Amino acid sequence: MKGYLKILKKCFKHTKSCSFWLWLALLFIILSTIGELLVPVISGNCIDFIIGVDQVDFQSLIKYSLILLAVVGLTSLFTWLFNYLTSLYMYKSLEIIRKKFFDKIQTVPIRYVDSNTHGDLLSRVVNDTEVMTDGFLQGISTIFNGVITILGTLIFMISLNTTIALIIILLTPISLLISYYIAKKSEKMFRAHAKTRGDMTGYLEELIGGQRIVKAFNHEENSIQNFEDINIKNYKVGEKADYYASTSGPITRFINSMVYIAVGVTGAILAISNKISVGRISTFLSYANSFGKPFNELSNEVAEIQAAFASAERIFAVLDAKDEPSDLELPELGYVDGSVKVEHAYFSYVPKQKLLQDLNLDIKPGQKIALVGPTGCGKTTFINLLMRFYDLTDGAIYLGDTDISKVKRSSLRSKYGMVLQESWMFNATVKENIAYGKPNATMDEIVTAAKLSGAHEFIEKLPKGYDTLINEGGSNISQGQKQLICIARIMLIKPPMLILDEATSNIDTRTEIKIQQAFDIMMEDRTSFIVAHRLSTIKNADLILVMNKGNIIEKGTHNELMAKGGFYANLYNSQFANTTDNN
Amino acid sequence: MFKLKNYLKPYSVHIILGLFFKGLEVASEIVTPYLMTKIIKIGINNADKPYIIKMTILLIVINSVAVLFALIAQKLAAIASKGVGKTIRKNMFTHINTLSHAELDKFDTTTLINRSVHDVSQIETAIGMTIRLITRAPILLIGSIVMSLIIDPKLSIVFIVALPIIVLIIFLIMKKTSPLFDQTKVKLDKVTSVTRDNLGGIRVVRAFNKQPNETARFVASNKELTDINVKTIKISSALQPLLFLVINFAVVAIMYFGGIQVNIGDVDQADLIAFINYFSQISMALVIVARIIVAYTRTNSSIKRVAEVFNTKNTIFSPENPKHIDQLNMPNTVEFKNVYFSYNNSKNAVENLNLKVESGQVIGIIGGTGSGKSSIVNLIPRFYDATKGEVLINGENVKKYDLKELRRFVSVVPQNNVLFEGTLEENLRWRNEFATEDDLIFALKIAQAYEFVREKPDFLKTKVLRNGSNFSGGQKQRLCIARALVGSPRILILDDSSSALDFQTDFNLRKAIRTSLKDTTIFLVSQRANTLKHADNIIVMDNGKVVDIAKHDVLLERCEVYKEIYNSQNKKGVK
Repeated sequence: MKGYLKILKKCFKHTKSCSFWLWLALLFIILSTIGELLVPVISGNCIDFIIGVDQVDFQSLIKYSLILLAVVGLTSLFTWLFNYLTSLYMYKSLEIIRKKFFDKIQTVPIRYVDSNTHGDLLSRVVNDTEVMTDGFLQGISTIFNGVITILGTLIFMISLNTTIALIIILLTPISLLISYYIAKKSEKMFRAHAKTRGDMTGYLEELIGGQRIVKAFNHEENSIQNFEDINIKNYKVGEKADYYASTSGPITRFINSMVYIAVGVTGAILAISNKISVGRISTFLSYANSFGKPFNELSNEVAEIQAAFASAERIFAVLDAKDEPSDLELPELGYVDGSVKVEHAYFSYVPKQKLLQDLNLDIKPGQKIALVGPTGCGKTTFINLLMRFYDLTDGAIYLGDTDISKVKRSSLRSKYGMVLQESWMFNATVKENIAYGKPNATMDEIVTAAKLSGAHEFIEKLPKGYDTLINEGGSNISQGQKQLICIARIMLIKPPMLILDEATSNIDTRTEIKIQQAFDIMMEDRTSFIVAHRLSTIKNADLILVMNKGNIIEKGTHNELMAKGGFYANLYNSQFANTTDNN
Repeated sequence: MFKLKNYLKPYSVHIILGLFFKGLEVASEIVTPYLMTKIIKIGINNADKPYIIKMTILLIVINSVAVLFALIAQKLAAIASKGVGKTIRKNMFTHINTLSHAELDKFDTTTLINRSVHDVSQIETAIGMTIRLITRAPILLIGSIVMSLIIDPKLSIVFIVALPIIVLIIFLIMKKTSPLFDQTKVKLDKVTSVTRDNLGGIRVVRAFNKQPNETARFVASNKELTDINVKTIKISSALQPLLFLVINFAVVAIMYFGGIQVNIGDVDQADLIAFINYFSQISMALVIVARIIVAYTRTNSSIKRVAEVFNTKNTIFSPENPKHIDQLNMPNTVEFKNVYFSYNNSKNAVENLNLKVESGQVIGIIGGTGSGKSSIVNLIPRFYDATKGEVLINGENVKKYDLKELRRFVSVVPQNNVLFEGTLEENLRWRNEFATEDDLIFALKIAQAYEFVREKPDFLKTKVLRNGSNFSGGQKQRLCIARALVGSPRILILDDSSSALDFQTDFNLRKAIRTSLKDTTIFLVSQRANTLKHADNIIVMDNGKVVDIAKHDVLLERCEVYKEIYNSQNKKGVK
């Protein structure tokens, strides 16, 4: 309970700027509830003007009818305003929370995004936000509506007739108790059902995703059999949960009709001794219906509200994540000459597993540094540290004489041009993608950059040239072409330093050659870090960093490392030795 | 063909009984106000207490029986709806398992999962709701109208005027909002895609310091979504108050005209109360109808999506009188005769391939992405069928063999490494359930996986998490290779399956396969010339065309494409 309150408080704090709408909505719900409660009283009055033959007081009947119409009209208007304003509040807060979520993603350390799957984050920003606002809104409006209806009904009833009022007040909690019991019981079953459903989804995910393997290994019958077991289990639990949840409707209906009968009968007996009019009985019958309603509604929404809290927790887990330490106070990084010094650098992703240990490097302006090693050896870790996507655990990296942790991250990153293998395109035109780092670039500049990178040729052949829209996921141009566009992006902003990731295998030979040429042009006179797969790059490098299992295990020039006869020499021999002999 | 009717049939008893019992419950709801009127009318007017008590007991009995009926109906509805869902899911999964690669290409994994889970749930809900609600509306509607006619036909005119207005309101609001709901979906997709873009490109965004631009893009699409949502809700939230308005106007009308009727003695006070009661029940019934309609439109699109899966027909199956294939002995030759292949009749992915492969040969296939390398090997175990020409194993067209036997004969290590939840040995026994532990160890050794598996405390019983997430990429790849080697396949296809291995391991693997599986015919797909250098023949592919087929040395002499590939990977500089 305390946890729930805390989450609610947080939620309100985040959406404070639009809470005006909520307060306004609450005003209208009070007005509309009073209206709704007045309607049976007035119509009961009306009925009492219609007593029997020649006993109809038309004058009063018309008067009260007009009052009734006015009350009904206003009530409708207030109800609509309440509905509309609460929804407005909900959608506005949804917008705010999503925006905050997105902002958060921009400011958390990259480490945070790396350690969560994108699908999970996406589902939080899309689904959970909706489940949360939906559930809270429903919950809030039901509770408010309910409390006001119940209080109002109580006041009206007691003022009209205490005996019947007591009957309603005493009997209604029974329905409340029963629906609470059912809700509790079915909630347990729903949880069990959610689990079997999750199991089923998981199994489907695995087997449909791996369907090609299933076929290759003749494993269809086996997997169908397994699925059937899971499916039947899911059915059994699901059927039970469904049934239990569905009993609350008839049972509360039953209790309500018992209340209805009790009111009617008591009313009738009282009426015989003239203690109550027939019109009042009709008023009470209508109250008997409306008094139980809020309880039922609330019990119907318990599951939804609980889901909302679960989603809220998932959202706030992200919103409360720590940002990257602020660098607003820090100075901009000015001119850099291209020299890089790494002093006693230590780094690890998790404390237990040490990666970089006491790394020292002294890189002169314009040098080319090749990062070499088997896949997954940690070459990206090094790049992450240079760009400060991750921060060192200990030690320092200097650009020129400046410690990179003592300047604004943005100014550091703008000194590097980065081309990764997985080229990121956004859903816009080719032109806009190239001008990503320099939005105000002229068309001439863009074309020049594209020409330098070797991308111009294929861009010209695209259906709309530079104005071709790159669709979502960039599926309308090839992997290699994407990389050429990324290179053009860098060519346009001419950064003093480069980080390049050479293509391995996903690119056809001709494009690969083009990319290589573009790399060579870019690298002239610029300090460059290259994740190298090609022999020529490696051999020409001023410094080779050999990495394995996240650590730099050897460093030196090609000749030095070969002479050493260590890991690099081994690697080199197994991959290239035969071929070099041939040439 | 997918027909919901066929799935409902086995549950027809449940459904009919469910509707019946539910109908009885609803009937009790109509009788209750009627009896209440009688209590007021006869009991109060005659001051007849025993009558009131008698009627009360009757009311209690009727309502108790009704709740029992309702519970039975709910149970029947639960059984029928979930049962139908269960059967659909089973058939759907079975159907998916019969589909060939060509059909699977049409659906991605997520949509198939969504269809089997969400869409089927939607159908379940609709069935349950139908049983629970569908009798309610007409019975309430007809019952109330009949009752009101019995009480006073003239007053019923109010119903006749008010009901069409209510129907019109419901109809108009639904018509206005349903296209808006579609738009909402589009806008939500946009928000999703901007976020996905941002997560995927987070390094680039930060490297270029573009967070403000990205945020602006997000804010724009986020706002569009809110606007459309607010627009929708502005209309749809008017439904309830409008109905309230119309109903109460009608109530006033009933009282006014009823007053006139009472004044001349056609009806009395109690009748009026009953009348008002029936009227509100009718309006409730209409709201239910509206809810059912909304649910049905949603269900309809779910049914369509489910049917789409079922209506996708498998195109690759065993022939009627299949030829059998000797799984143990030679020969194991493969021949491609004028083979053409294209996906969906688009551009040819393989054009005019001719090659005879002798038993025990190693064939390399090289070329860039999308050049048609995998397409060639996919034709051997009939993942796809050639569009023209023939693929022959041991001189017989692969289409003539029993599909299962063919796929036992040919073993594949695909590009993506997929392991399944379970234990290591369960995964390794996919090709041969009865493989001994020695068989598994033998395969692990060839696949260079024995070392790291041996270090595991549970050895072969080590748990494999979903998607093999507790193994590294390289380990998974080696385990996948080992899985394909169990049960000594006669033809082995390695489809670019050493990409996650370092050079040394890759080299050891190739050596081990060659020495341990001397008789096996091997197809080696790769982008790396060095991997294929020692193959008996190398097929060089470029953009669907077979450029050349020869040994490494010969290709190096005469094949430009091969030379280009080889040099770009090995020689110094390519300028």
